[in-house]
Amino acid sequence: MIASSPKSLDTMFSRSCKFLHLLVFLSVCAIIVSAFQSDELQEDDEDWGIVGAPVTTITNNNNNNIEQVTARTHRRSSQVSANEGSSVSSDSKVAFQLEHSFGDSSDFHVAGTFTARLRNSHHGGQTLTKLRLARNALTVEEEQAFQALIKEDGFYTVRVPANVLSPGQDMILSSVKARCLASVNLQERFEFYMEKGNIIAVGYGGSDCAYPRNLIYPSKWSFDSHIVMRSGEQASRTLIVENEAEVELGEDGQPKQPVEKTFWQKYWMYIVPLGFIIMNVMTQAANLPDEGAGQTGAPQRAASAGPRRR
Amino acid sequence: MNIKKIVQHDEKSIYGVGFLSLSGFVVWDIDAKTGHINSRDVITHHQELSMNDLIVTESSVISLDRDGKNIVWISLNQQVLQIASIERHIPDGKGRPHLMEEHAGNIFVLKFKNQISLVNLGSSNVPELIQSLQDHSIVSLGIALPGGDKHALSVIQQVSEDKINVHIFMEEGDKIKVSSELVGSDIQRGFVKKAYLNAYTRNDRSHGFRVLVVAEDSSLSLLQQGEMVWNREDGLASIIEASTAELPLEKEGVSVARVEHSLLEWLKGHWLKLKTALMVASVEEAAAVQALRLKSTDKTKMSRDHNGFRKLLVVLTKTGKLYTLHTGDGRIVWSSFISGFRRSGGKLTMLKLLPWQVPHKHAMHENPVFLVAAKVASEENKFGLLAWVDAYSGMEINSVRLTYFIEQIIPLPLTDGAEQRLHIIIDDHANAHLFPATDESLQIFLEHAQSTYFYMTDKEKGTITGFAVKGPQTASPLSPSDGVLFRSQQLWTIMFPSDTERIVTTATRRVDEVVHTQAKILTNQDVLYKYLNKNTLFVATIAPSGAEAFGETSPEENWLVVYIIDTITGRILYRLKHSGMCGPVHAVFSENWIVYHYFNVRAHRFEYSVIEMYDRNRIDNKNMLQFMLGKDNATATLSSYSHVDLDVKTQSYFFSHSIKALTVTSTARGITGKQILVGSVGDQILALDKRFFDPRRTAEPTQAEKEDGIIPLTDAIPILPQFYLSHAYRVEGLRGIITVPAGLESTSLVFAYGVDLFYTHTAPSRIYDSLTGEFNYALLLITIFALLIAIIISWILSERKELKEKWK
Repeated sequence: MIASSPKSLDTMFSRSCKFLHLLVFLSVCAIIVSAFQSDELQEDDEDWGIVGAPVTTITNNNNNNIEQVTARTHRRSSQVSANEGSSVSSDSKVAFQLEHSFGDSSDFHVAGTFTARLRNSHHGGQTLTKLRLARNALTVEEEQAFQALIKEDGFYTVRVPANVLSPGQDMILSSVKARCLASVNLQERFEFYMEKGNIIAVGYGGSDCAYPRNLIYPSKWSFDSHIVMRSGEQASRTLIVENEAEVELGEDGQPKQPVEKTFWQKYWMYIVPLGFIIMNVMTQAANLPDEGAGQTGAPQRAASAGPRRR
Repeated sequence: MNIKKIVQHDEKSIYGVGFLSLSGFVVWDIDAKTGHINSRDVITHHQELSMNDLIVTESSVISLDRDGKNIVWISLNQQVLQIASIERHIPDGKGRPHLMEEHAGNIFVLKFKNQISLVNLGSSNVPELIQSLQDHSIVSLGIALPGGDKHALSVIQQVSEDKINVHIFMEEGDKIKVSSELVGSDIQRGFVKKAYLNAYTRNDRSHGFRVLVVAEDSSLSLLQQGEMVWNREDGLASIIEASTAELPLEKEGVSVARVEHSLLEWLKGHWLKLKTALMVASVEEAAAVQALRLKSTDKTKMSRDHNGFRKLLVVLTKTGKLYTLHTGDGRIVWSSFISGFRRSGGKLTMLKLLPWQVPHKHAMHENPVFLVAAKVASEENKFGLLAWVDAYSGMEINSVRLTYFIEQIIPLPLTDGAEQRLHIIIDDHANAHLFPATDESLQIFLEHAQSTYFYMTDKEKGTITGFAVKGPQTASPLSPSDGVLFRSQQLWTIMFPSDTERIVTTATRRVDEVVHTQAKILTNQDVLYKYLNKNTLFVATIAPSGAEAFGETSPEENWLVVYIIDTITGRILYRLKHSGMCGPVHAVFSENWIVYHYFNVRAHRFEYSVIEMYDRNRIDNKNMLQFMLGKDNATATLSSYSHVDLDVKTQSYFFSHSIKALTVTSTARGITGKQILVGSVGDQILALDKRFFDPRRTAEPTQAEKEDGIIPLTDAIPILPQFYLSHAYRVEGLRGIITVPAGLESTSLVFAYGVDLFYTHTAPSRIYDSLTGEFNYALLLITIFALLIAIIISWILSERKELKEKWK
């Protein structure tokens, strides 16, 4: 947050010259009409003051900025006690609920509570760390519902609020076939994809699930949770290759022209076998009358040979 | 008080006309040369005027009173307000009339509920009814005829579906001349939508008129002397969906005479050919022979060819008209309006064109059938429309009006006994409706209903929601017009935070894509397994600030995030953030890779990125021998719920152009390499080899990598002249490119559409399975003959030798 403030100020300054002029004009007016003093609470001044930013004029013309600021103040007001005494660490705790449903996506019940530490990263955003889940034990009805779900190969659905800092109406759903959980003895796995305190998606499932799914009931009715936090990868910058390598270029720097092959070079593989085949056919044809003559000749010879031997 | 109309009256003066409060006219007379206001007159009326009706004719300013009971006008030179009762002058007019903008000279047009009336307000200062026209009538803009104060106006009246009446009203001084001509029109063009009048001087120095009409299907026709002189199918400029159909099989035993229609024509053709051969044919005859030759070439035959190059291109246009083009010469085989859609009323939006029945296996001799979907959103209700059209005749087999709105149509990988593809239609309550609604298809679908999932993308809310289909409603009767109803269960949601991300593009693999091999074998005997899950979705989101105009945001405020999502479980398999990038984003997804195009704000250049996905789970069976013997788990059934371990490789390259369309070639068996087809900003089609988009490219590839076909890495994708698939042509207003596999594995057919249409073949790995056109058959024959002679000579020689041996 500290690092971000001068940067954002910089951009604001550059982008709102006109506004600054107006501001200067207004402040001049304020000096002239010095009798009036606004009693409006300068929320952002106070806020920026806490984080130790140099006190400068803050033009509140950027909508995004306002939102961020209010989000911060909101959080601060509620969790200010967590910050007291430790000015270095700006961590705070957040908690949000996990709800689940057995096959009916309109009927959700509280299943547990997630707790996490909220850390302000040096990029200006906030990240959740040390996410833990305290699962409520399944009630008898829930156990029965779960068994029914396993039997019919239905879906077990969980949901969490999309915005963990100020939970609203928006929910992130995720489902898994109940048999997938049962086959691994209720070892569940949450994969959170987050962006600045907002959950984008939750990948929920058993550690593995082979197909076909067999009807197996878990040996115990308590969940074993495994939580993974992900935020994705950052793309590497496009490489600037120094040597402009010649792609499809010849040595002379011109695009390489395909060398025209001669007829024989192109089609020798067709012509040679064809020549062989013709040669074969010809010799066959030539041999046929020979053989025919030979066969008719053989008995004659035999016949003529016979008497001689006698 | 404001000016509503500005009219140039003559060279000297311009009139500005407007209303003063609710019941007065203001007329400014402005000098055309100096801009000086000569006079400003205010004429008030004791009643309120209709503010929407105001026209300025040759000599008067005309309006109606508020109730539309009277015509109120002032003459431009007298500045006196006059009133005439409409009921008295036009007794047959029903309902409240309106003044139409179109007028000529002193003729103006009043539009009633079911008729239009042409009225002359000449020097007599009394409105005279010229003619009232019922039916569907379109009025053209009036024109001034050269030489004198003559004006003309035309009205095109649709008498019946295939006949139009062209009325011309010409004002000559105080007289009105009316002429009418009956012209036949094509029923498949629909009603006339717009008309433009044009005048010319006839041989006898009188005025002749021609009318250019725009029909309901956006086609242009010129009417003159009671005939349609020419027409242009300009509806083809608004193609929204395109698909292909196979031509019918060639029937054997069709005699020459039948093919050439009649013996006489056949003889005539040969006579003409003889004449050209003897060089005694005239120019027209030579042209006729040329046309005959073109007609008789294989290219334009109406039957299937062995290589699968001849196809029918079926296109759906914005107006709801279907056209079928022959790929041989681009001619229109048939075109037809879907009559079921035209009657619907309300604002019609065409949605999809899907192959419904492809002649295959059991139904070899059936005609291919296409399913066309549209939706109507009127103020009262919104609903979907479906129509089934025969691809050979253009006949509408059936059309239904659904009781629900169409959100999405999903073709299933299942077909029934008659080779009709099963489709599910998702309505706006996320219910699924199965088509065709027959017992047979229901039985087929029920076997797979347990594993049928779908997802819906809401770009405005930034959510993607996944659903599973739940068994059919018990005792839901089969209703052929509405499909079999299935409920759905919401399974997952992905929500992109609206303050940081906005969905711009999604891409999936083609449903009909064929992949030849699941593995990529490297030269060092290593095997990479492609991640080929068909239920994979690519989503690109950008920063909301990036949507603003170029140059208004800094690179820090822009980012592009791409996701690879499993659409069964809603899991994000991969997320990659590009900082300092913005849209527009174009993406193409094929096999295990995605190529996408965007703008790099920091470098001020366009950029491509490629993502390739490999499955690490299957890397264990690395042994190539095992793979070749089929002793690996390549054929095992995979579950989406099992753990996925993706190995993702990415790389980015600069590109010098902004692009309009991005697609990839497709071949029959997926063996041939791929080309990325790019619709460039200059309306050309570029074919870039997929090898340029290979994340394994390095600046200095090793010898082994070179053998794999890896091109040394460059920072930009080069554009060489031979990459231009469209040669020197420009496909004006390019909007989309589709690719279709040909029968030959090496070749892919490419069809690009925009205002212009363009069709070509491309062979990404060169043509390796057929002889090229330049193949020298003569030389081959000569070689064979030479070989034959050599064989005969050598045989004779050997015979002689043998004989000599025997004599020894």
